[in-house]
Amino acid sequence: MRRVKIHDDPQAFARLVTRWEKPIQRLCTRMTGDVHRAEDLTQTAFTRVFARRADWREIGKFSSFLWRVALNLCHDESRRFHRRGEFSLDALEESDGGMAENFASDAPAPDAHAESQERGELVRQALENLSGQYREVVVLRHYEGLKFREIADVLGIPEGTVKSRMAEALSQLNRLLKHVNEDESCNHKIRTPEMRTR
Amino acid sequence: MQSQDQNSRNENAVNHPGAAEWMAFHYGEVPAEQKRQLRAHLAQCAACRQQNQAWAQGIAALDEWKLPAPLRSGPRWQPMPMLKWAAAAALVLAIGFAIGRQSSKAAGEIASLKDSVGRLARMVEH
Repeated sequence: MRRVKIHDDPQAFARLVTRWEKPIQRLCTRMTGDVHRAEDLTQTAFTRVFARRADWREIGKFSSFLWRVALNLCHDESRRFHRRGEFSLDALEESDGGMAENFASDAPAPDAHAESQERGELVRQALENLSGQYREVVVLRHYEGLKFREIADVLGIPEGTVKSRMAEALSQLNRLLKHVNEDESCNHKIRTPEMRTR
Repeated sequence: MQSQDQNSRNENAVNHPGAAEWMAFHYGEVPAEQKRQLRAHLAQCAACRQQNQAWAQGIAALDEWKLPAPLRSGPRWQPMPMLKWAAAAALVLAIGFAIGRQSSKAAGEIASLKDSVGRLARMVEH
């Protein structure tokens, strides 16, 4: 990034794009829930980073700068999308378990692949129902594997706040999916690896 | 003097690890000794066990959303993406201008005038 900032080196920037394009596209997909919009947002994110290369401070990590730019774009896009009224799942939160009822309403038992896809779609919708401040923490920690302190650096908030938001996000997510999880827990108890004692 | 029940409640309240600690625990960001202590707490505290079970369900659910393969791959950085949009906009404007000229009332009048002038010129020549 230093070469890009000081020498306007397009080759150096192309290397940065190669390195970070996929993670940023994944982030945008998880944040917006839409692969096509994510592709556009990724392109815009790199364009914006190049345009604002002078703003990057060498003491900060380039990745944090890039994550931040991409997240801001995702939030802007989300706000625009909601304003246009193309996405409205607010009713789901009001009617507790609405998604789960929709999920459970399929009469014929779908095959495993279809069921897995449906559950994935359910999770995507539940995540879109979370407010941006919770969704971004979930996406960065769970899907992109950033440490809590790295997320704190990206978002410019204390690490404890990041963890609290993660806990709240999981609680909300669990509430939205609770009917599905109840079905699941009939078969087996879910535990993270950390909860399993030897 | 506090009752035994109150003492028990206060002790539990002090000893319950916070949500932040549990998040670090679930995502493997606690040192081994702290992890051991948290596991020991889980083993004896039903309230924490219930809360953590709920978080674990949320974490497990997140894994169910799999992303499709990327539509495009490889670097596709365009240094001046606005250029193609500018060219497209210029093309649309040019086509619009041409169509406007062809179809506008003024264009019709000009064509009629040209025709009249041509006929007059031919009359003069003859």
